[in-house]
Amino acid sequence: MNDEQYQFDDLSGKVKETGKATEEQKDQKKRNYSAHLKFLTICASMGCGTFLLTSTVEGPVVHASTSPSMTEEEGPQAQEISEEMPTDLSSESSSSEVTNDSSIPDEAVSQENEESTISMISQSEEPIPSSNQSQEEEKTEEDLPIDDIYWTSTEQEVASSVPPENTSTKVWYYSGNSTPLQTVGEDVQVSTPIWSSIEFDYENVVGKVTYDSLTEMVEGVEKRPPIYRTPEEAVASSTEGILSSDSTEMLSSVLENPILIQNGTQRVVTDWEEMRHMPIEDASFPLTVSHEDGSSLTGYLNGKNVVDVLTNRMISQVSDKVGEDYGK
Amino acid sequence: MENKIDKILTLEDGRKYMILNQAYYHETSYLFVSRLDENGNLTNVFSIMKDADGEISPVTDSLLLKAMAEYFKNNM
Repeated sequence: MNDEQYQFDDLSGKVKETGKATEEQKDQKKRNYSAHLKFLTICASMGCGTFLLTSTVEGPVVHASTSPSMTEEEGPQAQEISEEMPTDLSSESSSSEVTNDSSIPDEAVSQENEESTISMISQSEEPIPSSNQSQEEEKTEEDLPIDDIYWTSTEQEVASSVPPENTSTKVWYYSGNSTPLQTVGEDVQVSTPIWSSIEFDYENVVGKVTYDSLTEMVEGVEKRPPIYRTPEEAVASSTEGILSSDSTEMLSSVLENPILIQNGTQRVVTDWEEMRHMPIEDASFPLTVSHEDGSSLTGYLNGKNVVDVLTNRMISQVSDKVGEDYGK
Repeated sequence: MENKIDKILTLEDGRKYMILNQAYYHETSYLFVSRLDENGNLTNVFSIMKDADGEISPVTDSLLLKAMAEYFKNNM
């Protein structure tokens, strides 16, 4: 559905002149924030190269990479990075100083170079033109009322010795697979774990699902709970509460696996039993509506609202039952 | 140390880049840049460049590249 190519420019050159960016270019920089972040995220985990990401709701992710040649002669070697803010910067845009005194053995660099050439399975080798994003794609959250924001879920796989960092909209988990063993020396073989991610993107228009229709999906709920755009928003609006055993059973039949956010880190809870021991104020519950055209929408309920809704429903059921009994 | 963020670099061969972010390491300036197309629009062609004496060259040391990418990602 969405194909994006990120290319690493490995050309050198002499600077002829330096000028200021126009306001339009600065605006483009802001609008392309997500693309910049994706490129850097992949670079940080796999090394920089040319990446083709094909994003579909159901299909596998296409992710091809090539690394630049490793010929730099005297580049500084980074192992630990500490940063200091220099004193001569403007407040609007600031550059930072990265300092490091440590070094990394050449063997480590060589090993890293070999591993960074891993290419992920590709569904299509067809290059996608790099781009100027169309005006339609550049619509931002602020441009659209909440009920007109449509969401896509994007899956992605990356081979890396450590999992990439989670973000506010993307969660990484071990896919259960690793790259084939590669011989890197006599009697030495390495295999790299493959990490999968799920990301929710509400800036792309892909269907006709709205927040109203999503809210309708909460079965048996008389009072609609608010739907939040991100797990963070849901958790931030929650207060303390307790989930009963009955509640977890009921929830598991209606909602997707809850997302816990603790110490700023997201974690998907796959075992609902675990929720009985978790503080409900840390939990958000995803709700996704899928339509025949392949579009889908995901929003999040907060834990406290879920408890309130369930409690109200149970009270209502008891009241009805009592009413029926007394009515006899 | 000059702050070059949001500046446009024009190379002798005509290529143009917008500097999205900048970091200093061992007194060398490193730039996270996006190439501009012929109309001056940002593209999805990126690079992390070493900026020295009026010449820019892509960082190719894998470990440094990853470290810089991580650094820029966390400081966007």
